[in-house]
Amino acid sequence: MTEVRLEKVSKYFGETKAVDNVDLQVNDGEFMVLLGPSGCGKTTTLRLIAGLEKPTSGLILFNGEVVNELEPKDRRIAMVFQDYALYPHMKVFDNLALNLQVRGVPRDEIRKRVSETAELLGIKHLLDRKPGQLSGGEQQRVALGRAIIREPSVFLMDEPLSNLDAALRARMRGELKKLQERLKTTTIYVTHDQVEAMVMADRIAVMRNGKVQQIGSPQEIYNRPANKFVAEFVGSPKMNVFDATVVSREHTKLTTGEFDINIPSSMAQRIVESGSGPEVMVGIRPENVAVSTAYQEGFLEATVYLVEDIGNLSFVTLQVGDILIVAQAPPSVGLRVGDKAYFSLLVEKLHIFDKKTEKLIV
Amino acid sequence: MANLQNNRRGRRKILRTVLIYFATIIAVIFFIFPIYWLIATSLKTRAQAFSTPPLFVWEPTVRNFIDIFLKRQTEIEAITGQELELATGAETFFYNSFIVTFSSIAIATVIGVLAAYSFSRYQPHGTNTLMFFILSTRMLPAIVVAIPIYFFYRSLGLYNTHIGLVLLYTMFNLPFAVWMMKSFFDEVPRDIEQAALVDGSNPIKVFYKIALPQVLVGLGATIGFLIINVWNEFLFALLLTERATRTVPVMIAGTRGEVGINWGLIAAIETLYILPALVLIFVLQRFLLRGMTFGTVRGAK
Repeated sequence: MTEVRLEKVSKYFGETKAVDNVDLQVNDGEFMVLLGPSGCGKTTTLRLIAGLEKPTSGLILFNGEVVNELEPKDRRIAMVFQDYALYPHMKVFDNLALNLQVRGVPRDEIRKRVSETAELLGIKHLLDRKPGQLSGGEQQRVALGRAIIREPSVFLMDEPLSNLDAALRARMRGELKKLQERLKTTTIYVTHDQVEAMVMADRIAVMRNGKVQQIGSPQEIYNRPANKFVAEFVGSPKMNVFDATVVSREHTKLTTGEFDINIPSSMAQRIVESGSGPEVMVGIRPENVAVSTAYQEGFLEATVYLVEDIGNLSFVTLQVGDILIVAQAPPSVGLRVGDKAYFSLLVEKLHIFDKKTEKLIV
Repeated sequence: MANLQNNRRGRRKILRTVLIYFATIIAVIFFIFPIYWLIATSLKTRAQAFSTPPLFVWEPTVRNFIDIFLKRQTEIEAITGQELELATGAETFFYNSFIVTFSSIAIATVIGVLAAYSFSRYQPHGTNTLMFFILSTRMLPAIVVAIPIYFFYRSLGLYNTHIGLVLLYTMFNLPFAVWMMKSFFDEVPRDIEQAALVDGSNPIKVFYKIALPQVLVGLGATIGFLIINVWNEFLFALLLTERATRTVPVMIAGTRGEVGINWGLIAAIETLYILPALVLIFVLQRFLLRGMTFGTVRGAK
């Protein structure tokens, strides 16, 4: 039963601001994912929560109590490291049992709990081996076992799946999520993989350059990205974003220079209210771009620049003048590079960003 | 055709192997021969040791080995008229060598390992400067400080004491221990120790339960090199000891026979003296090799 709160936490390494004024609230039992590109400060944030780094300023609170000065061992946390950091000279049994041993838990109790944990993770047959004799997936499970055996109040996970191959990663993703739901332990999970974040998180905190860009449920992050960075970082293939200018007096017409987009007046209203001026950026996800081989009412003409067929789906990159737009289409669309194609943007799914601040307007 | 070629290739391969073995054997003989000659001489009488041409077949005698420990003899020193006891009671000297080596290495290892770990993990302010300072103490030839240390030891009462030699050897060995162990600690991923910290261990437990077991190979190598350093040290042992604390290398240099030099006796002492070193090197060879090639291949286990 632990909630974790960060209040205006910063961490500088010399001149570098690794974590910059971060506010974050992780509720009890919540699965919070810190998502961002490498070097965005997400791992440092995790290490601050673990107590492996001391914040330059700001407060870290567990259940409302400041833990800034608390040693890692006294924070009742468990951490899974990217490279697992198993103790190479100890058998799996001792890897799991070390924490219980140093806390002076009686032997029978230790044996029982190791056995239960190993059972839960399906590593019972590995207890007598050393980490060097295990496969990546098995090591990963041992690392996980070491974390859960001590019934911590917070799980911290630093890209625990990134060293696994794709198939195993996908499977462990599901298992990890299920495990967390079962244990109901507050979990803070760091990853740069937006699919992982979308699939596992209750809420996601997207970070960039040490700052939190947006905190929200996966759906919120996906459907209402707070700014251009979040919009482009989450989703694959990434959102199409291109510059546009408001031209009509009623603000209902945008032009990209290559083609015009008519927007509903409610949207136009928001642009006016935002005070952004006529220069904006327009974003639209590939699944909201319709593409067709034949001209239809309101469709715009383009040339096929690239076709990426992934089996069940096909991503068609269209070129209009200097602008490239990726559209999602069924593989049966039958377009080839160089073909003429027609497309239409689903206007109600448009995202409009302020060009200067890159913040979402609507 | 193909068969013929295969044959030729096979023959060339055999020739290559033979040449390699031949070269290896020559090299081994080159290094082993002095040791063989030493042991052979220790098993010869004085006359046999001096015979020309050298004897390769003779009736071995263990007289020299008995003499080392049992024979008591004295000689009047020509200049001072002092009465000297010679080449006898070698057990004292072996005992001295052993005590001095063991103690100084125990101290140097403990201090060195702890210092290396702190430098590697906690990086106190000025780590680089301190590490350089430690290294710089090894840059002077030892003989430069010989005279100051001699007077220093005289006035402090450390002259002709075990503790004096132990302190000195500890001082000489510490830089080596710190530098070598630091690089071994540096190679161990920090994540593992941090995992243990998070996992509820305090820093001291992390040190001896997690960090230390991972550098055992390095520790073995370090201790091996230190032992070789101290066991063979001559200069300061000569300067700072008298009969009561004299180590074997100094004793060997001072050993003479009744008439001229008794090489058989010297060879016997030396044989006994290199024996522990040989055994040790044999036991530690895996570690020593690791110490020598350390850092040449990154991430090799």
